[in-house]
Amino acid sequence: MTTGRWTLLGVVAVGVAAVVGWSLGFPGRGHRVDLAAEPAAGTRIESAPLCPWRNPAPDLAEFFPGADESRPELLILSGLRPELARRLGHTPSSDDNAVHVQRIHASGRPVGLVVVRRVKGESGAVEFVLALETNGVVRGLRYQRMREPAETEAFLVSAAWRSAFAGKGVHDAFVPGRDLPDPPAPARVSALAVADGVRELLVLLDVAAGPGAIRRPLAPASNPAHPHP
Amino acid sequence: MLRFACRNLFRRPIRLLLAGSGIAVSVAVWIVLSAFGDGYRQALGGELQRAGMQMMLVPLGCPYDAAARVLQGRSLDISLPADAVDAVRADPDVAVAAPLLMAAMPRPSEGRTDLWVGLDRSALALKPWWRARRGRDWFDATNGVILGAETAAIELREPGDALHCPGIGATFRVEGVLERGGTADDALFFIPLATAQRTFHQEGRVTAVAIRLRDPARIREVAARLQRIPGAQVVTMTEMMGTFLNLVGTVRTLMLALAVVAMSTGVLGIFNTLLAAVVERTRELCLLRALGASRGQVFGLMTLEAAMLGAGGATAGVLLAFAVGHLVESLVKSYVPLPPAGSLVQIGPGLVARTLVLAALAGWVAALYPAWRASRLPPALPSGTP
Repeated sequence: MTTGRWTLLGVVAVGVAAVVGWSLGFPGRGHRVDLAAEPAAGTRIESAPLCPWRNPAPDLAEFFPGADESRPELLILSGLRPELARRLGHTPSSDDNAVHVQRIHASGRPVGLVVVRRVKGESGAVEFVLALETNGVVRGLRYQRMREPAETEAFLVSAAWRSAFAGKGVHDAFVPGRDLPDPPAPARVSALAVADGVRELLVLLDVAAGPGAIRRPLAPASNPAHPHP
Repeated sequence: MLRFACRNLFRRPIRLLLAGSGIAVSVAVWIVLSAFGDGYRQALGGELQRAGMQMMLVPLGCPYDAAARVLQGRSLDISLPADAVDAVRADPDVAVAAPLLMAAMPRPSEGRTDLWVGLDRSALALKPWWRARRGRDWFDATNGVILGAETAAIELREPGDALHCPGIGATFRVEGVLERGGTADDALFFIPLATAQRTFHQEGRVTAVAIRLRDPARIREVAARLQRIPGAQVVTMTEMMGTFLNLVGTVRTLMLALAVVAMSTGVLGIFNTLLAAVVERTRELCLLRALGASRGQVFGLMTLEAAMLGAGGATAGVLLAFAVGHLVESLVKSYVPLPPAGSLVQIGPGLVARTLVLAALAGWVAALYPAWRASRLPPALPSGTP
């Protein structure tokens, strides 16, 4: 090769090396951290994270033994807030604007639906799973999480309390001591919260079945899963 | 000339597609890996800054594992005696020594683990972001609990509410809810140190001591002194970050090597495509020369084709990187130590520009020899040339 070609080759090689080095970020990209610096301000997030359906398999096994598919769906109720307020008896919370439901199918045939709810118990949140028939009547209730003291927990998970919800619909009453078993005094707040939560879910689903609600099927993967601390 | 080059490229669409795909894949890998490395470094630095300390005293064992667990609010199986705190506080270079006791309360039936942290007032000096969004920002009662923002949201707790810990059968009163800080602290339950020691049966013990120095420049001398505390070892945040970045850097280097191989394959693809084009189009190129095209024009035509091929492939690669970036992030994140919260793949305009320039240059380099060969063709072929 002639000197001119060697020069050209050298220029090209240097250029390539420079661009590759620049692309890889050399020099001056060390990882020093200023530990004395003030941290950035945090982000304000007020709303509670969505309550996920944490453990579908045992819930389906108990309530829908032959089920082979659950189809998630979002019911958007934000356009029905006046009716929701009237039916619930209070201003709807942000959680009431939309309800995630799982439509349960067995061999392609709808057999019921599952909804989850987080309510404020006496000593922490109580998360429950409500299974419903296709006509909106309660089939059963299971708990996902709670942090109640032993006596309260024993009452809430008792068969007498849980089975009392079965067969109830949106037009039934949910008063502990009258329509439901009477809870012991320490469990009263949490039991009331669960009863109210069930009633409110039934109201939300009843409103969603009427005109004005938006039904949006979701991809199965969009079933929200949220890690708990 | 642009239209002519374009028409030449599209003569063999399958070959064009294969060569462009090679470039696109290599560019996408390059961008995602570079973006992940930058994002990880920034996020880890941010987390360590918010930790508010320069070093940590932990029980003997793997110091980095211990420090990582403490930073993430996870408990350690072993602990330090409380007099280790006194020894640290006695050091003249230590500005703040904050003892921490951490306890994990698993609830396997519910698939969760509650993380409780006992701390005393000295911890406030290390957490300048510690502000109550609601209620008090410090404990008024021994059974008080202050909740991270995420914990309070999930447990639906407000100041004044009760909060029960089923594992130990203790009930606390919520005194405050912290502002969200974007760290692991958001998901913790904070209680007074003495209460934690009593509740979790760790009287006189602490999990770790977080340390801030009066003069960070003296970190080595202080670390050497504190290292002499029996049963304890010191890990500095800089060492910790360096260790994690080295681990990530090793993985990144290996993967970048793969990206270089992919890029080289792409370059060879362009080289092969153009060389084949020169051989196929020998008669046409000779005719061009016979019609008056100079060697420089033929050379320019071939390099223009290569540049278009490289630019097209690189653009597709950038789009691919945006499409699969978060997928790759979730995959890589599960293998890296101390994954910081938030997105770690940050594809910025600078990175995209650098990669596009690199891809264009690679395409140009690959085109040099075929273009030179094309430019050397004579204006007329010798008789008998097929």
